[in-house]
Amino acid sequence: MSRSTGTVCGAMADHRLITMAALWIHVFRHQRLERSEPLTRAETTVGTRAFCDLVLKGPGIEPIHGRLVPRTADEVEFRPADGGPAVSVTPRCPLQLSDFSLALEVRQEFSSTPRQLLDRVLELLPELWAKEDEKQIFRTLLDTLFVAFAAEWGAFFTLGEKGGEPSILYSRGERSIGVSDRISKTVIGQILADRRPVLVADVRTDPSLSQAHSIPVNVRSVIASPLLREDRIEGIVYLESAESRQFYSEDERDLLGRICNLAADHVARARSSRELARENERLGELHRTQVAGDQSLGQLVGTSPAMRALIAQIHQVAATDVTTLVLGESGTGKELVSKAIHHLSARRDAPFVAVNCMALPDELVESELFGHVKGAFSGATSDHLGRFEMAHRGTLFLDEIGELSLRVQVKLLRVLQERVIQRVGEAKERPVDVRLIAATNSNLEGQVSSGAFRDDLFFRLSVFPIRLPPLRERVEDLPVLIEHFIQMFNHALRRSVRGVDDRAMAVLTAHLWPGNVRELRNVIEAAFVRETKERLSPESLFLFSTRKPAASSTDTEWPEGLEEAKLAFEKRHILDALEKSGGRIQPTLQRLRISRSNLYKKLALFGIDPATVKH
Amino acid sequence: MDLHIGDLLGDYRLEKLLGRGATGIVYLATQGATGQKVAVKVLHFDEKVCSGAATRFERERALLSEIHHPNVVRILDWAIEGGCSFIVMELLTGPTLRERLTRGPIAGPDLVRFGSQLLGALGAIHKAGILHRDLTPSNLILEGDRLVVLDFGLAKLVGEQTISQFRSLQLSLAYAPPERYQGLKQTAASDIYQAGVVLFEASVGRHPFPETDASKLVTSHLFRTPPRATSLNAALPPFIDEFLAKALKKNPLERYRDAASMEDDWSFLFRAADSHRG
Repeated sequence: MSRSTGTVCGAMADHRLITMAALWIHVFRHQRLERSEPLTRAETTVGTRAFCDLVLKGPGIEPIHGRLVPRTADEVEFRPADGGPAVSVTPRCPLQLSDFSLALEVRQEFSSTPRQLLDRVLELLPELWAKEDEKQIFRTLLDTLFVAFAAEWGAFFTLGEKGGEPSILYSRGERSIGVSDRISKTVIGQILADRRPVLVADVRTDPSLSQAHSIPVNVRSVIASPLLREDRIEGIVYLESAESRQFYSEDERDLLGRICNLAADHVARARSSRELARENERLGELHRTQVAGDQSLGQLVGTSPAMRALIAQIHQVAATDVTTLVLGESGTGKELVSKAIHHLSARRDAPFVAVNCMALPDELVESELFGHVKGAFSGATSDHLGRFEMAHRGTLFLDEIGELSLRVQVKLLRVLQERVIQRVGEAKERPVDVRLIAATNSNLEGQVSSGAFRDDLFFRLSVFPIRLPPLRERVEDLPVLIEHFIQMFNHALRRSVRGVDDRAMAVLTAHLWPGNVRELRNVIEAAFVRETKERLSPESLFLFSTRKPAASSTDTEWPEGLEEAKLAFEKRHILDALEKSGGRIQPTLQRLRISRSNLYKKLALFGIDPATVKH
Repeated sequence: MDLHIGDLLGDYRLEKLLGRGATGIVYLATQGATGQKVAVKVLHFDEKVCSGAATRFERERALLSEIHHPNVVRILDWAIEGGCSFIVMELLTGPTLRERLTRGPIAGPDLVRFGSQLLGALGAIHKAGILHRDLTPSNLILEGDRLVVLDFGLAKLVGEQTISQFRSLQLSLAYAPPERYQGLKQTAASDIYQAGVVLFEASVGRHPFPETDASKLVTSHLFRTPPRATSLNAALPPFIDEFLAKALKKNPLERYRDAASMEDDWSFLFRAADSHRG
């Protein structure tokens, strides 16, 4: 703030909106100040031993003399360890302990006056109006409020489709790992219920958070507000102040609420103008929505116990930096889960790089992963950055890890142990800081015992395994998922399909879904093309048989439509080739005489998991 | 390189296989000139997997030879030959702490001495500029009244070349400080944490986080407060809970500054308990 605010501050001193109140203890000995420390803990032990939080060395002080416990914003209680009566310590009434005098100070630190805060908000508005994209609006909003309200940590939460679990879209600031999740959950829950801004002045004394006391708390005060439009929550701004630093007030809560209302109006305006613009570019939408997979956890749809356990595991592992192994059949969303881990982790601002080991021919894997230098092999006409280097400080996702040759496995193991890579054709070691998430749909342990996969690499990778449930193990999620995809294609194709009819639901529930969620998505998408009615009927559903193909083609009832019949034949033929090759990719490629990437695309399209196709 | 009983390694004749551990193969050997019995540990380096391991081994070995402490295993001689490295150490015959703990917690004067010796050794190791990195009950030998610390930093050097990899991974998970899972640098405070876990286990007879599931162990080390030792073993001196809590702080900066101040508190605990009784 460049303008002089000296006189304004003086005049408004009594109405300051943002105060930072911290309790400090000054330790005097024979009237000399020895040191000053903030009281940041729920309980501060005092004594001569090093294990005490406040160490006082001197005659008359016991190893553990007692405990200082903050009572209110300006009072601390001293509880002697020998069971004597508690003594109140206030700024006016210091505590005498032998030679020491402990003086309490309530430090009022002012980060902004209301004038400064309003200035900031006024500065923010034009920047917000200039943004058209919702996510940019949300980000700008959070950035500015984070600074204006001097928060320690702030986040913008969005709700999944159909009011699913709120998830963090953006966050700002530092937050100790995992510590205050329960507080944010409670506060967000309150907002979802009341649709009004929330203030928790002091998390340590707030009754609604009493359960959160069992966990270490690094937060003092919280304000949060929804962005409401026609009673729909567009998102939630959530701000935490640092422990023992700053108490938010009701005024600040209300101000935050009003700013969020303004922002919500703007989001609505931006959206309607964008929808107009979209009229003009309707064609090709379908293709784009396929690609527009958002990285957030909101994409993991479902409320079954299996799904809830999975989401809890994702949060858990995201808080750490350990190598993670994602196990699941094809189409269960291994990449989605890996992205969610990345976006919830401390590495979220660095790149997420995905490599599918199956889609790469063996001779290319090494240079793809580690890079190469010019002239390393014929065809290496320039230096090439490997995926490990691309993912520096971020996350590298290796899908189909079981497809790596033993030679590459050794190299990978080395990278995991030494944290350095060597580009192909170069002796220099380059340090890389990468979190590795590996995924596989095959039985890796089986490959270990058969010797096709190095056991030492396996143990390195499986520090934290996450298993994704196949769709058939969570059929209770089918209705939600179907609804999710119908909404998605309604939006993308500007249709208004209202759901599936009862007969179709029966068919969908009976299906075994070997291709999992991906197969479901493809089936719904195809049904959109064929169905003209409001509700999808069984006639529009094109489900591939999950049974093994019939012995001869004459036994088969091909679908009537030429396109469908072609697809059905293609799938049959590929399955056949895979089966003859014992589920292995290389011989299948030779049989079918198609490219590896082409085969891989087809497997994904038909939801075929080569690991399950064996003699 | 294949070794057999009766082979001569430099001046040392291999006499008996003592064991295969996570860090190599250990033989009983006799020095030709003096007839002294020694232990010879043979480490295999797989250069494909960990290039530079030999160099780092050499660097740490040089530092280790600087340590002269009664509770740190004495290194008598060493060599690197044909992809193998040999360390000649004093011969230890006592049980490991892990073996000892199967008979329940250590009590009374044994516990006081054990803790002081462990922390004294740790102080000496740190003073030499080395981190132990793998302080677990399997790496502590009880040689009568004398505790001996083994295997510093070496476990990390050899690149886990044994059959029992999974087990050793599990074991080191059980003793790994929180910062290891956060991708942070390990410091002397990491050894302090491991010493805290070992002392907890020695005093109570069980690990503070007895989970066997790897992911649960990780979460426990990262988030869970260990139980109060006095609630599991009432015979322990008062304040040991505060002592262990300080060593097992999740934040490395909040732990004991060094092994010496930790040792000072440790011996105080028992003096105070004695004077209390007296």
